[in-house]
This record gives sequence, C-alpha cells and structure tokens, in this order.
Amino acid sequence: MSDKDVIIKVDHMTKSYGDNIVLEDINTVVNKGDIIAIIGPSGCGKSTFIRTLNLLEKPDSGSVLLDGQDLTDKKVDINKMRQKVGMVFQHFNLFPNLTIKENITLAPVKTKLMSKQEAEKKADELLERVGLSDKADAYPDTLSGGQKQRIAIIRSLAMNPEVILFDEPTSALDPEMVGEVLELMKELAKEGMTMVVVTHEMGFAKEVANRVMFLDEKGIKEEGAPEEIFGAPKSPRLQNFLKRVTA
Amino acid sequence: MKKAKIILLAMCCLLLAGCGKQAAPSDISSIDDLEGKRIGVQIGTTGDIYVSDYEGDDAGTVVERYNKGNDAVSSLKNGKIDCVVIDEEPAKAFIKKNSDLSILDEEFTIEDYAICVSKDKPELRDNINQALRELKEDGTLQKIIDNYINDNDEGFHYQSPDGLTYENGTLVMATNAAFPPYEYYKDNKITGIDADMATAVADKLNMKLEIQDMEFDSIITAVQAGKADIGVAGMTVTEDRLKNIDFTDTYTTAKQVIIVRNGNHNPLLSIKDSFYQNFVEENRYEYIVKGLRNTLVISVFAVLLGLVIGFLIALVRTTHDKMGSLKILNWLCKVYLTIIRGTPTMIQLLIIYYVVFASANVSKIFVAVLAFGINSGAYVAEILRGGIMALDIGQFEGARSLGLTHGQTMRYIILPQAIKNTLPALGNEFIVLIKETAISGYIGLQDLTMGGNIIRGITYEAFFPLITVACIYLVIVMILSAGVSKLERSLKKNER
Repeated sequence: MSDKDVIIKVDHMTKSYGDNIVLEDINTVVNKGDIIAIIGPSGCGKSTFIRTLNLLEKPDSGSVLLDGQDLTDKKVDINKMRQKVGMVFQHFNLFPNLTIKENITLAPVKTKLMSKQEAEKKADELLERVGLSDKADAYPDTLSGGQKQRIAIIRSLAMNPEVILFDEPTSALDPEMVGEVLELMKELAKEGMTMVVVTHEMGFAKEVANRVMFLDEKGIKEEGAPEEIFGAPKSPRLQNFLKRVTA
Repeated sequence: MKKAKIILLAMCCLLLAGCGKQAAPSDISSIDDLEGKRIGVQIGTTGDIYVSDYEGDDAGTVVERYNKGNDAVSSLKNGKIDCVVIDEEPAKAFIKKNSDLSILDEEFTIEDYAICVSKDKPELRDNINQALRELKEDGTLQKIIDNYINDNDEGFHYQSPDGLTYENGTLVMATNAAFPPYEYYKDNKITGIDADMATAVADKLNMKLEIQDMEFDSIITAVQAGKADIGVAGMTVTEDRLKNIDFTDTYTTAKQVIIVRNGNHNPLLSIKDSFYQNFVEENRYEYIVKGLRNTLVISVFAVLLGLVIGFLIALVRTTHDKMGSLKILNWLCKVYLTIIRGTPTMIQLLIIYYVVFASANVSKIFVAVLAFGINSGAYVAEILRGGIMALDIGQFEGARSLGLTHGQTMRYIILPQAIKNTLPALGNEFIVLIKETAISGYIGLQDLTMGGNIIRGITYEAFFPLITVACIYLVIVMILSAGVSKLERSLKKNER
C-alpha cells in the first residue's frame, strides 16, 4: 500500500485528563476505503480516541497526521483540516435554531466550500437520498431520533469529507430506529467512504468493517480483520469482552 | 391591561388613604423647645450644620435630613417631623402656600450668603467681588432683592443691558432650584434673587450665565470639579466649606428660622384644581414631557450600549473558558464585572460625572448613557455567559467538527440559541435599567423623576406629580415587556 492511500496516521499519541492516563502510545493508520470498527468496554477511551482524530480532544504528546499534516501543529489551520473529516455524534448535535436544510448547508457555505445554490442543490439530493425531502424546512426538534441521526450523517456528507468518524451513532436511539441508521452507514461503506466507527453493534462490525480494533486499558490491545477478532480472539480480555456482549 | 388597571387603582387607594389626615400642631414656641424634637433640615445647609449640635443629645433630638427644603416641609405637614429649620425667605414662600404652617418669631440664627468659587480660580473670585461692589453701589442688588422679598410691585425686573457680546464665554452657575425666592422654577425657567443677581454679575464680567440645577449637596462638588464656575444657592460661608472652596464677599444677609405646624386646617384643593395647579398652570406638564424625553433617550441608548458591552464580555469570557485563550482580556473582564456589580449604580454615575469627566465639558445625557450602559453591560454579560455555558457542549462540537471557526460557531449556532434562552432574563435587566435611570437627578439631569420633583417643589403636592411619574414608568415597562414577550414567541417557532 502506497503512502498516499494513508488518510490518518496516529503516531505515539498519548492523552490524559489530569493524572488519569486515558490513551497511551497509540499507533495506527486509517487508509483510504477502510471501514474501521472500534470496540471495547465502556470507559476504555474509545470516544476519546476517535475525538482526537479531528482534534476535538487535544493529545498531550505524539501526533495525528491527516493527509500528512500534523493536526497538533499550531501552524496548521485546524478549521480547514476539519472540513475533510466528517463526524457523527451519539446525540446528533443538530442545530435546533436552524431548519434541516440550513443545518446541512451552513458549513459548506460558510467555509466557502460551495456557493449557496450548490449547497442547496447538494442538500436536496442528500435529503432525497435518505427519503426526508419533506423535512427540509422543518426544525430538528420535530424529527425522530433515527431521522435526526440520518440528517446528521448527510450533514457531514455535504462537506464531501475524506473520512467520517462515527462516535456511537446508534447508542442513543430507540431499538426500532437503529436499523435505518445502520442501513445508511452500510450504503456509505459500499460506496467506498472511509469510515471509523466506535460501536457496540457487533453485528455491524462483523458484517461491514474490514478492520476491527479492540481498545482496552489505555491502548489498542488487538487489531485485525473481523473474522480474526471475532473468530479467534487472542487475549483473555477480548475473549471475556466478546462473551459478555454476545451473551 | 386589566392587570394594569387594578395596580393603578390600588396605588390610588393607598395614596388617598394617606391624604386628608391633619397632623397635630407642633409643640414648639421657641428655640428652647427644640430639644427632644424631630427637626427637619435640608441636607448640607447651614441649618443642617447648626442643628447637628442638638443631634444625639440626652433629650433624644432627632435630625431628619432632606434633599430639598420642600421635602422637609411636606414631612412637617404630614406630622413626620415637628419643625423645619430653614432660611427665612424660602420659609416665607412655604407658609404662603400652606396656611397650616407658621414661622416662629424668634429667629434661629443670622447668616451671610455668598457665592462659592473654586480655589483654583482666585481671579474669577476677585472679578465677581468687583462686580458685586458695583451692583451694591448702583443699587441694582437691592432692587433685585426687593423685587422678590418685599413684594414691592414697582415692576422692577433685572434686564441685561443691550449690546452685550459675552466675549468672555459662559459662566456656569450650579444651584438647587427648590429654594424660593432665591432660586425656583417658574414658567420652565429657573428664576429668583440668586439667578437675577448672578445674571447681573455675569453681565458685568461680559459672560453669558448658564444655570444648572442639581442636588444642594452636589453644588460644592460641581464647582470644585470644574463642572460649574460658581455655586449660588443661598450659601452661607462656613469653616467646613472654606476647606474645599472659596467664597466671594457677602451679597445679602438672611436668617435661619423655624417652621412649625400651627394647627390650622389647610383647605384641600379639589382634584380638578390640584390637576390644574400641577400640570396646566404655567405649562408645568412640560417638566414631565422634557423629563420623559430624557429618560427615554437615556434608556434606549443605555440598553444598546449595555448589549454591546455585554456581548463582547460574554464572548471574551466564554472563549477563554472554552479555548483557554485571551487570558489577559478575561482577567480585565472579571475586574470590570467585580467592580460594576460590587458598587451602587448611583455611585458609578457620580464617579463618571464628577471624577472621570471632571474637567471635560460633556453632555449629561451622554454621561448618563455611559454610566447606565456600562452598568447594564456587566449584568447582560453574565446573563449571556450563563446562556452560552448552559448550552449542550455538543452544539460547539457539532459546529467545530464541520470546520466552522469559533467565531462562526458563536455567531450562527451558539448566540442565537443563548439569546433565545436568556430573553426573559435580558428583558428583566432592561426593566431594571429603565427604572434605575430615575437617579439621573443626582447629576442634575432633568429626567422623568426629576421632572415630577420639580413640579412637587413648586406646588407642594405629592399626589399628582408622583402618581403621574409612576404611571409613566409603568407604561414604559409594560410596553417593553410586551415587546420582549412578542420577540420570545417569534423565536419559539422552531419548537414543537
């Protein structure tokens, strides 16, 4: 694999809150087209890890390289870099003061990525794709959780990102709404979108991911293809974890 | 609207209940009876200084100090105090309008009136002394005094000689125009012995006289600070005053006398007569109109200034809290918030007028807007900061993750939500601000409250001037509240 296929490279990255070390000496890469599922027990630093990839959390040491540029470098325009990295949150984080369409077009227009017309055309296409065209002028508070999360996903898609980070995208949803969101994520995966997904949906990890990372005790303890991780877990902690989540 | 009517009715009932009661005559027939009594004086006057000797004596004498002579007289009429010690001429003017009061034959003390001048301006003092000598010699001064005091109706009224060019600029005179016949309002103008005498002096100096009305105890400060060139308000030379200020030669002598209740009944005015006297006669409603205009101008611009300051400070403070930057600015903002929220608004107003702009000749409206705006800014800042910090952190993260800058995030996402959520608190702050402007009178600015007080000072009636002023404030606040509610509703359109 050549270097230009590497989108994100994490190099000896450490993160702590006060005296509490959350991540220690993390090294990994995200290649173009990767679908990476991050699993692990709660409190193991999965969310912190994925949030360092667009610098919502600042690493204490080490570096996070996006397209070869170090995000922790003060000279790098972090806002420019974040435009290339979409993010979908557990609690959607739609803007309640804006309509659905404005939620989607705000960033592309204000970052001068697109003209207003282009952004609106793009928003219309995306809304049609997820079947929510009739909600274009509604406000987020009138939508169901599943609808909100699908809007959040196409909001990040509107920026034409190189990679999308998903931080437990289905954890806050009612069970009957999980399906519609996972379906949309599978579609994106099929189209070749690079995705990093923190998830508790082992089925999704098995079926869609090409790599699975098991995070535990401040670091990546095991990493590999889903069939290795789920089929032949090496460490007792991973075996234990899988036993618990599939029980 | 119905609510407002009920409130008004309740206020009227309360006031009417207070009216009409006749207090018993004072038990005072000579100076010797003052011990153990409740004595009213105008704050900072010589009467105040002399009477203070009685205060705290074994007989339990109490001295009540009022901002205006007529407030003391009103209290005397209501039986709140037993007598008022005040200058003879104002006392005569007071009893002329109040048949239930009389002056004791025995005077309290005799004293000399002089003009006060800043110690930094000995030249001005000498020039005034020269002018006073000339006015005494040619009899003008006596004519001016006679015109007001002895009621000799020769039709003399001081007129500036023709052809004056005022080449030496303006002479600003500080006074407290509730002290007839020395200075009082008539036909929306300040008139009286002091006003005429000062005009005559100014004419001699070839200067144009400009009279500024303020609280009596502010006059010396104003002259000291250079806000006014001279203080003329029936002022007696005292040792304490000489420490801070210079006096010219005496221009007249006066007595301090004692006003008491005599037990007579003061004929009650009918409501119609009372209304006529308070608002129609001499176009007195104009005091209210002018005051209302000033109050509105001050309120509107102070609210705007407060919003601007509040926004800037809230932005600095939250940016510091969220991003860890702007340390020095944040520290400055905290100092500002501590000082402004930790000191009374009135003191801030006085400091800005008498200390910050001590020597600068700035408009009082500007000073008031600045003072109230800076004051309100501190509260608006904390309200907005609360609104911003209360928002889900996910709103910041959602916006930043899309590549929006901190500024764009604040402008398009955070502030619109914070403002919507804090609108009731902001509306409340504006209401407080509008009512707080009622202290503008302390820098001699004729706002709505002072407009009402001027009428009260002329007519010695509390009811109409106070109720009218109260109702106008009430209406302003109700209009503002309605506006805020409407805005709130229109911002709620995005809620289920």
